[in-house]
Amino acid sequence: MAKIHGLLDLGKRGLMINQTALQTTSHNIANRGTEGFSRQRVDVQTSPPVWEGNHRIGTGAMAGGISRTNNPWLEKQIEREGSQLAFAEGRATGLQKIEGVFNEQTIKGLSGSISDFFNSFRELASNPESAVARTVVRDNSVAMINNFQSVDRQVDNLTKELNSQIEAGVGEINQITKEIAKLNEKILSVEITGTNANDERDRRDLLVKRLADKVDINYSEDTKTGTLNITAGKTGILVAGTSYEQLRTGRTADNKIQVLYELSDGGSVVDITDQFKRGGIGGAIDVRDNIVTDIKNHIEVLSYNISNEVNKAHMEGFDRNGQQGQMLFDIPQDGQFVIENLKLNKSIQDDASLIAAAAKPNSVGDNTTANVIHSLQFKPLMNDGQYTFDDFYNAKVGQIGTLTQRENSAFETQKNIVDQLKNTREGISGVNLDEEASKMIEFQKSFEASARIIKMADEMFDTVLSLKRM
Amino acid sequence: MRVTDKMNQSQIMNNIQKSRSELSTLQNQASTGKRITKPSDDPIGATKVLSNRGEIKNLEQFERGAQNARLFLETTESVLAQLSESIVRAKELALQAANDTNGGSPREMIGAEIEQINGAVMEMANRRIGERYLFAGHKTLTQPFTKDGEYSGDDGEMKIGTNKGHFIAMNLSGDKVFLGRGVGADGKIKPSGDTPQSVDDLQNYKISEAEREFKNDEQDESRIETRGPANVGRIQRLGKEDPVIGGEGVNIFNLMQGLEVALKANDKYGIQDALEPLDQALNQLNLARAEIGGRVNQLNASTDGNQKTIIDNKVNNSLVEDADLFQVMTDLNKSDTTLKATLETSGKLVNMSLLDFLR
Repeated sequence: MAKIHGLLDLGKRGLMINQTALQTTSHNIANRGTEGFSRQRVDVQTSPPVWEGNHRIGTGAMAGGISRTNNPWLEKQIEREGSQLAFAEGRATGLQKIEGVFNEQTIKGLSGSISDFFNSFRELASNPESAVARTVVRDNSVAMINNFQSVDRQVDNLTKELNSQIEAGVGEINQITKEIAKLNEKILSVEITGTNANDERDRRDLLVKRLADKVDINYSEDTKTGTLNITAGKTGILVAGTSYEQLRTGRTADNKIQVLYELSDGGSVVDITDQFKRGGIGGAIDVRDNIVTDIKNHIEVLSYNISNEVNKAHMEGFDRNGQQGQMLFDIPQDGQFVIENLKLNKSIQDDASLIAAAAKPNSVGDNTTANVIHSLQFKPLMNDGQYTFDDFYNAKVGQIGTLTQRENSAFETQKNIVDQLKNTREGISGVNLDEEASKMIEFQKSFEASARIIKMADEMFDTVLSLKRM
Repeated sequence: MRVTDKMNQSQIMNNIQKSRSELSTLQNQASTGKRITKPSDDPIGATKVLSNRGEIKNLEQFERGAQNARLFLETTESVLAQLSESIVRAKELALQAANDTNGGSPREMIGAEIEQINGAVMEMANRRIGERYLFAGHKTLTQPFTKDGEYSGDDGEMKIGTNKGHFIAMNLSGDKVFLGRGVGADGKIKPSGDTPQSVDDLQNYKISEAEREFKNDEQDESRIETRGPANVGRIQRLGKEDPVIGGEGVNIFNLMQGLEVALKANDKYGIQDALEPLDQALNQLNLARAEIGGRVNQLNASTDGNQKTIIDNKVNNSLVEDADLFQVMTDLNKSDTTLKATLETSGKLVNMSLLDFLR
């Protein structure tokens, strides 16, 4: 036989559980827009039945716990693909900037000024006696040098920008790992009591994804404690249980920011820059160390070859005054060539009549040397006689264009993949207001009904107590 | 499928973003008229455009050079035409004077006219275009002929590039036209027809030029020796083969001065002797004019070719980089409609909620 106070108890439990459910629903609604939030639900279980003679009779419901609706495998996928996306984005943005430097579609750039340079020698060949033609040659030479230097500077600025991107990224990583270590601690202390640390886990999942957006990480959860261990690259252990390690940055000899990891406190420091192949920092490192460096070298080789070849021809010639030609471009003879220091020969800068057009002394109308110099434009003088100057430069522009195009589309594709995954995640873990509203009604009604049960039990007591008076 | 609010939201945002970025690309194409605004829009096309543009630039410069060369050649041609007329007139006069019926004072009068003609010939030989002497070879700022017909220019040719690796000489040196050097088989080594185009070429060229100059100087020395100074200006030697160095062209100054002297001296045989060399001189001039004509033809042909290439390149560039405006406008309309539809449906979708129906 059931007892009336059992009913009271059951009603009370019903009230409590529905209140918990309503609270969780409200929590869901409130966190509808919270990034990384997984909707939570109360795991309602029947409470243990009691024996009543030969029967076991139900005693209502109780909360088994509050769990989040979450697919860990999907989260891992999002982390992976997101890391790739950040990498593609880093590369695409870097390449777009490089492309900007070499974009001559609407404005005159390096190719234009190289043409102008050789054309000014063509003009000189038409008028080898002319002082004006020589001034034009001088000015166009200076313009070409300036253009080379401006491109070189822009490429250098890009390196600087990427450096500061890497530096800032490392700073963010350190913030994130600190927070993850704290969350590990919290989760450990919560879950040791047997309850789920839902919100902390959501937050930690989100931070892991953010971390993966920066660099490539590997992580695994310690199933006993629920803490997460994270390794950056191959060897940089960032989070181990509740402790964390901070990354540091340093500068290489050629002014590149490197990412450093300290093996133990005060111990040796290793350079782990090369281990990053994913994430925004990985992208920045890739663009900086492969693409930008390569382009800088190409521009350097091109400017050196043009100046050197023109110099060789120019020094064979004779100037307006019948003197042997000097170097047109002032370049060091010991091979220590940098674009920054490229300049026009000082004496030619001061006196344009020293520009040589003739192949013989004292013949002002001789244009043989000028002819040779402008013919150099069509000679295969790059890459051991494979390309002309123009071909070499144009091929590079084409290559940058192709790379940028490919990276842009890789980025788009990757973005689609990540969007799709995120959609799937939202489909599982996201909050739907309609659903929560209907649940709210459901729990509210159950709450009301539970209250009615208590009232009914109360009336039953009254009925029983009134027996004596009758 | 379970659809949540965030899914809706991100989908709407993505769609709007997509439409907007499409619109911005199209708008950019419409306002610039270009399909390619950066290399990654079409790397192959962009490279093509870049090299075409470079080629156009170069060809336009080649054209400027060719224009200049044409002017130089045509001026030379007109001077030579004038010169030929003078020689023809001299021939007419010489024929008149060669006849005995014209003996005595008329010869002297004719001699006076020849003297005038000689002055004009000297002026023509020192004709300039701008600052540059036409017939001075490479020494374009030095007056090539003195009063006595001494040549102080050289036999250098000014080569003008008309296209990649193509050069046309734009001048005729005075020693060839007026002194007849290097015209016949006089043993003079002519300048090489090749134009050096690389540093190695240039070094070789300088060596061979030095050799050539040395040998020609040797020639000149031996010439003077066989003739002797007394013979200079003597009409009798003209047109006759030199026993040592063979035939050569006509020295027009010597010929004309000899004629003038013969006329003034009333030397009938001297005048008669001048008749044949005058014909030779005309031939020599015609030869030079033919050479100029040939060069002008070459220039014109290369100009035609260059102009055609410039136009082809421009057309090609337009095909590659210009946007098809009709297409762009149509696409613009389409994208515009898409964006409007996205916005409209989004507005409706976002506002819908079960809560609106629970009262």
